[in-house]
Amino acid sequence: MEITLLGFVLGMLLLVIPLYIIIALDLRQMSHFLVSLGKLLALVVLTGGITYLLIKWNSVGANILAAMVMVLVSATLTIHKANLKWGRLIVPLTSGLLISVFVIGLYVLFLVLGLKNPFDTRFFIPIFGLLTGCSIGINANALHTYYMGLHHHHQLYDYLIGNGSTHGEAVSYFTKRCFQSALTSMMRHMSAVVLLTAPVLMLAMVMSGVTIFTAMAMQVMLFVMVLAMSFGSLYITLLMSRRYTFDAYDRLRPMKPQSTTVPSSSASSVQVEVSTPQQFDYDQFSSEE
Amino acid sequence: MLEFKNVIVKLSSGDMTKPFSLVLNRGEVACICSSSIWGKTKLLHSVLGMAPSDGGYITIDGEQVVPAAADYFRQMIAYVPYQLPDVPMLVSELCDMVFGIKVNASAKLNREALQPIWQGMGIDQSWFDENITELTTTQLQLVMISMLPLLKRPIVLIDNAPQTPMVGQLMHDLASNGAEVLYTCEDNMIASDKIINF
Repeated sequence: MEITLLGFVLGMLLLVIPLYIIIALDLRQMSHFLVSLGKLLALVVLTGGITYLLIKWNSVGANILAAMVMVLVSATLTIHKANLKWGRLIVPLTSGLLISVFVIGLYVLFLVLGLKNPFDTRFFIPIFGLLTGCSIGINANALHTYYMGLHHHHQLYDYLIGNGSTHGEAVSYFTKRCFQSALTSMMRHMSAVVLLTAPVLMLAMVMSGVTIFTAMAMQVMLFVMVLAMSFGSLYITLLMSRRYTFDAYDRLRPMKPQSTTVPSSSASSVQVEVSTPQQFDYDQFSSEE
Repeated sequence: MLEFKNVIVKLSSGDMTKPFSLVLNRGEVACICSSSIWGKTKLLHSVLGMAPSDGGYITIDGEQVVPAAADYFRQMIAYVPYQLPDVPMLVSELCDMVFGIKVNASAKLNREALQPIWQGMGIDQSWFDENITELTTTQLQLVMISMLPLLKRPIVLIDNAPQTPMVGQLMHDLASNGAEVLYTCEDNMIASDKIINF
């Protein structure tokens, strides 16, 4: 199947319908629409161009480098979407994604697709792209739930830490919520396919000549591998993030991108009184200032 | 032995207290009394190694409480906070969570062990099935205080302890069993061996 230049132009002519509606009904979104369309074209040309070069080179080194870039971009977008501090999470999240995406990706390429050369660009890049791309929203929701839960409901964490629990025990409630959030996001996507959104991957594979059974299996496999990758990357991220997100006193560092202001203090002194009530032996300190 | 040496506390107003020292020995009950909530909570957090001291230093058995040693010291301390958990969770789940932490594993604590203490304190057994967000602050603090005798820790810290004879009696019972009990309050109504007033 090929799309000629004429075919593409004819396809783009369909834009006349939305453009007419936007103008006729005065939707006042023409500029937003054109910017979005421009962004779509730019990103498609960019990723398409890179994929074209990677397929042309078909080099293991270039593919691995591309996968690492995809992971870095995915981590950055996840942190941005979760509205958390980039500097605190980029190292643990990139590490978590990198380990998970390579383990799950190579597992799928080797064992599920049964490829002799899993680094073949035609398969390696789409699988790694699907894994890193589809996990952004899920991981963002999960990390937001975890850190905002700890931020707003730190009392439970403080109570458990104060009673001698380990860090893992003290955050267990929030870890559970984090994975629940990831699972809920994934289940929402799973149940929406066909009923609310089209099974894009399956239909695209059918169009490109793959048998319907393979396309169906791949559509199901997509959810399974993204869920496995997401859980794996979250687990590693939370495990590694303690060093970056908690201070020496086991307190959660500020995680929101906006800077928080600390109340200023004056240097004035207040009287302190030490006493032993039974003996009425008050040992009083006087103010320095 | 819990010792405060020239400790300074920053109050909610931003003011700093004058340095004070206090030695809390086994079997003693001490009170830190102040109308400022922030300073007292932060002071207890400093004992737990969960916040830096505003001045001076705190030692436990002669060893200074520093972040690197805080994990170890916290295993010797039972803590009842003033700011209480506010996540949707049953009281029984909260109790199981505390009983289930590694440091309590050897004690094999469970809900049944808590029942006689609740009877003694007049706590309704039906609270086990209540959501912690549905209990009042005092009720939830009483639940946490009721767990203290089971935890058998040498140091007990209670932030903003309810000023009732029952709680006072429980603290003295803990002290008579060898614990060092330090509590904070706004207006002290409980007999204590030592009091620090801010």
